[in-house]
Amino acid sequence: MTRRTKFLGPIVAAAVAFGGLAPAFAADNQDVIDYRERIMKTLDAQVAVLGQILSGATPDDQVVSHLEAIAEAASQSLKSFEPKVEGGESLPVVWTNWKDFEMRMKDFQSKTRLAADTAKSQGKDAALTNILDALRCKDCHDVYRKKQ
Amino acid sequence: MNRLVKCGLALAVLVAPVMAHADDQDVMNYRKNVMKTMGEQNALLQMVVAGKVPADQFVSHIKTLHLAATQAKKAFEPKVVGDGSTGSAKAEVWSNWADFSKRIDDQVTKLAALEKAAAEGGVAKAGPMIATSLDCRGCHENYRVPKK
Ligand code: HEC
Ligand code: HEC
Repeated sequence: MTRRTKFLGPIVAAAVAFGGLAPAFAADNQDVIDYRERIMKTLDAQVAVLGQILSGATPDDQVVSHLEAIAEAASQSLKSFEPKVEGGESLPVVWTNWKDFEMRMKDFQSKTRLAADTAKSQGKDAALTNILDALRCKDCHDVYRKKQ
Repeated sequence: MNRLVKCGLALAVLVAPVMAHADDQDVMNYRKNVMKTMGEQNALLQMVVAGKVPADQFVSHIKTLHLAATQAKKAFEPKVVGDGSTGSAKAEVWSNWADFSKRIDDQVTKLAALEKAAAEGGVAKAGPMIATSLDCRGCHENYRVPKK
């Protein structure tokens, strides 16, 4: 992270002044865990909305945008697990079985991207027909996330 | 897609248990999940700016924040005032709708500019713009029941 430190000073100051930061915590490992968990929570929020839309509880006029947000957050996921920091709800197999985990993440990323692109080019119904196959959240959690 | 298919999909997709079909609750869940997305992605970009995590997904965090902001207006259109527990939107959201919806529009515009700056020049260019690009606190002070 050293390459960034030269311009970080003023930015950090600005961010702290704005109040968007809690300057107190600096436990590196906790940062790594927070980072991946917040990406997962983003997915959770947008998938919850999609679930509401699919059940007819929420109008479907923003489906494209929700699929795009899911694809974007999915694209953030793999990087967030790259640092081997056990803890949070991650099981150690994430890293001992990294090849498989990585494959699942990439698959998740490309399928959600395809869904978002399909929604844009062919309309929402075309994208939603196969959406379950793109959102195999539970398949991964069953193997790599601590039981709730 | 017909409603039955949509319902079946929704049940399968949702990771969280399905809420009772209270319409008002659906309305509040929608906007809360949009805001939650903004909260998570804002936290992520602040972590980047603070040097807590690598900066390589900076643009993606701003892009997702921007996307969620574009979802907000539709999500707030149905007038369901929160009571501070299940939802925390004040009645002023709808009695001052012209101001509230303009704030959302301005937030979207500023995030579009921020995303553009981030894509062009990363943290160095977009970092100093963050504080003036976010109206989270300004809007919450006026339109959200304060947390007890
Ligand atoms: C390839 C694996 C994988 C996929 C795909 C995946 N997750 Fe996760 N998820 C994890 C792991 C591992 C954790 C535990 C992270 C931690 O706490 O360290 C997790 C944690 C979570 C959490 C808890 C975050 C917290 O609050 O601590 C939520 C919510 C979540 N995932 C939602 C989703 C949703 C929704 C999807 C699908 C759209 C999804 N995940 C897809 C692996 C995955
Ligand atoms: C135009 C006004 C407005 C703007 C701008 C705004 N918010 Fe909100 N936000 C609200 C309102 C109103 C609520 C209460 C929603 C409810 O409970 O029904 C809320 C609620 C929230 C919540 C709580 C969601 C939950 O889980 O209940 C979070 C987190 C949040 N906002 C984050 C943000 C962030 C981060 C930003 C800036 C990037 C932002 N908001 C910008 C109006 C706004």
